[in-house]
Amino acid sequence: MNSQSPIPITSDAILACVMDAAADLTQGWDRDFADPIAPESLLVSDLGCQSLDIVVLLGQLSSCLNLTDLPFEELLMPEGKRVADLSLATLADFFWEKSHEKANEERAFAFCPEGESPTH
Amino acid sequence: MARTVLIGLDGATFTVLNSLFETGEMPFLREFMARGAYAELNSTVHPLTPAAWTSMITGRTPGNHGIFDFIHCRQASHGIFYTLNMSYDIRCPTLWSMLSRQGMRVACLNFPVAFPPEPINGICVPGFVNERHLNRAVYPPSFFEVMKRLPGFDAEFLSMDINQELQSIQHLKEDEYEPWITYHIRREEQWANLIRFVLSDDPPDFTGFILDGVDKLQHLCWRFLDPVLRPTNPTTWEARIIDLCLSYFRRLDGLLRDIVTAAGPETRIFVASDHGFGATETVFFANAWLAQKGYLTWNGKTGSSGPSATDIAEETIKSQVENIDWDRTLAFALNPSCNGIYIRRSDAHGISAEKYQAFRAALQQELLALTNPFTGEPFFSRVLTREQAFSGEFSARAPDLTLLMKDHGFLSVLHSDEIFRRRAEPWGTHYPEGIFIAGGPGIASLGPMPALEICDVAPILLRSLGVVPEGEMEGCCPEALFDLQPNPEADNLQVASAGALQGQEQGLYADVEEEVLKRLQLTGYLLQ
Repeated sequence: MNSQSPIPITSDAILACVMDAAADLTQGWDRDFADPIAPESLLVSDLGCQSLDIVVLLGQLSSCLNLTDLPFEELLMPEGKRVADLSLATLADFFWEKSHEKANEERAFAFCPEGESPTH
Repeated sequence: MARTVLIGLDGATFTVLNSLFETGEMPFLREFMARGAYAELNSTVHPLTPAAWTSMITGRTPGNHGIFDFIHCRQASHGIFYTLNMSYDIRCPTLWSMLSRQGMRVACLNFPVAFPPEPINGICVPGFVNERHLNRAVYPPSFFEVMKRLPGFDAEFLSMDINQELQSIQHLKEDEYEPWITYHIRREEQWANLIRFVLSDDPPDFTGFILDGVDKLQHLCWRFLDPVLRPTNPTTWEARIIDLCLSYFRRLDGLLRDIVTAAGPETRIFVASDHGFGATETVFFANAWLAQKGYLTWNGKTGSSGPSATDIAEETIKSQVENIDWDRTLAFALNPSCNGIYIRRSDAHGISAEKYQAFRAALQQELLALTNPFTGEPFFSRVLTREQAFSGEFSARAPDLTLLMKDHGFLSVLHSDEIFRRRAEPWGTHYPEGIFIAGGPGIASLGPMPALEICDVAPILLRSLGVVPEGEMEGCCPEALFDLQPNPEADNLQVASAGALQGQEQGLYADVEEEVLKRLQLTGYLLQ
């Protein structure tokens, strides 16, 4: 294992990544939304995403940010209720938060004596 | 090493192929098989497409590769959250990632759980991708432009419309059969066209691809394909459908001949299926049974399943999740494909950790005691805990119990007034015994061989390529399959591989930020 602590990618970089991914995903779609993609753009009502599109977007972002096994239920089903829509900024915040958590976990492991788990 | 091709025929079984060989419908494959070696290929414990193909291309069982179904679920405090399995959910190296790390050029086409594509030394066109997403699913992205320039290219046939595909496991109206079968002939032609291009234009060291129409036709048309069930005095419509099914297999045989020809005589060819096929006649309504036993509570929004309760669809899964009262449910079946029962794990609204083992064991015994009301025999051949079915590092992602029916059918998750229902006619379902055929230079003309395990395929392919497996594999290569002289070139390759891997180790664990940036670049995201 790498003993170096990971340096988390910045929130601005993640937002840029999310917006690029959304632009790439919706490229070539017929959609009414003529405005440029912005942090406040909503996946469903503005960009015309269907549920499968959102799964694909989350998968691509997870892959390119190297963040797997994420609890997407926190994002899509908070308090057990499905969210109707989601802005790109909210999506970016989620990935930034999870990248930070992962960095903290790995940093904690890096400082642990071999064979011991960090306490949280 | 020899250039190597894996031809995946989803769901292919000798039950059907042998009868087609006898009637002369598939002369190429019959001849190819007769010259080489062949065996039944035992699938994963529950023979299901994503789990089984992943075992084939990793040499690991599902408990060690982490893929048990098309989806995986996570228990949240308020209910169940499920999502599609992605390529990064495979927890061990795939053939193409191993070979890429050793500098070999690879192509993988139409494999499940391949999206998002891994950056590999070659080409990846994942399977099970919707047409809306195909252009960004291809690796490298520029290869999609190459695909578009192929004569007759039509993205519709290289992608998958999940609603259309679900028809293959549902009942179709009589007039819907013909377009369905014709669609799959065209789909195979599109994939074959792409595969021939890949193989003829500076071919990769390893090419693996799946043609999936066999599975689709057999689900829908099993009663016309199984020589035992095929009607002896067919109606006009039945005769037409039988003829169309035979047309599909004749066309498939021609495409296989063209692909093998394009690969060239110096190429080793391996044909394999992820599982076999057979008939199922009885449906088990798992959630209805759990509700009857008091383990599951509907939330009152659902009615009876009605006459089409054997339908299986994504919408059905969604509606079942929404129709279950999670605060008063201890066990549930989420979806039909994995034949699994999950136990609600919660101190507040489910089974606590202390009571889990006893609860699961009792549920297992209750299921094993169920009898088929139409035959009087036990309904399940086995009911397995996750540790029994899928031992390994990732078995916790598997259902708590996996149900194996005597007729290998899939369970239903729907609400129903009945626990068991007889289908109007036999339906095609996954049986464990798939196929394995090998031919080409260096393959011993063994003819029939003892049955192989699906995890044997990856070691066999690596042996063909002269590559040492990366990490542990649960299968092994039967040495008798290869009739090879000592090959210094292959030996050197193995030595070189070990060195290459050591070099990769440092890269794999390089600084995380660098890794993230690299991935961003590889997937086309360039940070400012």
